[in-house]
Amino acid sequence: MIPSLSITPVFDTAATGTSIVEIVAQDSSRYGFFRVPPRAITAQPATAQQTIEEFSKLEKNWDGYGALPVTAESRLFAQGFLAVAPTVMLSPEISPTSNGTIGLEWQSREGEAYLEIGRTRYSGHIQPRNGTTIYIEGQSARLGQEEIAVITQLLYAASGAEAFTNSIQITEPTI
Amino acid sequence: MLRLARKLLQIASKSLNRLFSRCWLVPSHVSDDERIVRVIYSPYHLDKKKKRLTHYAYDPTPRTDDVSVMRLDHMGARLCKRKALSFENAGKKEYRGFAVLRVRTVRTSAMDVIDSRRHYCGHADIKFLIEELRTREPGEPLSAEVGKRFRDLKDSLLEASNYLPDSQPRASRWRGPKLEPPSGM
Repeated sequence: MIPSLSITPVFDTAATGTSIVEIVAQDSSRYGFFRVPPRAITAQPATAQQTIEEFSKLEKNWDGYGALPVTAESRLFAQGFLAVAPTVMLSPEISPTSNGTIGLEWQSREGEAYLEIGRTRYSGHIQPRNGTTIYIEGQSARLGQEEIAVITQLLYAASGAEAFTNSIQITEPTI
Repeated sequence: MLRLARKLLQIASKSLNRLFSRCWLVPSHVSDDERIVRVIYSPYHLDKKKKRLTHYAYDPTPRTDDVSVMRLDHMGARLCKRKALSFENAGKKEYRGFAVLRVRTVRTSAMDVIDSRRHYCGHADIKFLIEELRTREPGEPLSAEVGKRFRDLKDSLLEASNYLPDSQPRASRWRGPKLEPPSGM
């Protein structure tokens, strides 16, 4: 069954100063539908993990413009994140950034997503083809299923991809 | 008449720079009409097929909002290439060609270009004018919204770039087509 997608409304994260994912994580009981059931990890292309592993070889100034080496923490968090991602998300463009973080990018007919994973924090955005930009950020150690669910639903739901959730309904919390 | 005088000045400054590394005639203000080039190295500035630039080609030096470029009109293609090859690191970072931009296009996208001859004569920097790039911790990303703005600026630089791969990267001279920004820019 193709999951439905309903986001109503995307609230102003700038006003609350907290990302959607963080708000969901902070009060997960209100967003129980957002939780992702544990599932077996499907065959994962070794290339994504290997690509990230290769970044350990990058020395200072690897880009010729003073780039920093990719931190071990960023590599571990990125590998951990991809280890639990569904098949459809397993082939992002993976690149080191000059500030020592790792950038992951996905593109689909529905839009694009960018996630940058750092030593202690991650941040990024999802740009649906038709719709407002959704910003995501938080602690790298907590990066995981919620972010996967949001990206999967927004970029791959229409393709009938293996999605984890039936719907994402995000409403502005009453404070 | 003014255009001719400017052209003569560029030829003179280019020759002084190339032959004697002298910066006397290079104006410190980077004019809107100037062409600048970003040296492109493989693998990290190009996509998997090594054909198209990625936005990482315009990642700034850490703790700055500066992207190093060369003032083509005051260095000439030959000196630009000599410099590019001197920064190569065999097997890790290989020279592949140049991305050419017009200064005016960069400035109309809410960025700036300034001369930075302290590095070498003809060096300049594209400034993103994003404070958080200068203050962020090493190994950490920008905040999500600033990161998106930064990404949009890099995308506009990609749009304004004409990437010209060097078909003979080992040759000492630039033998490709004329280094020009995309038509109409």
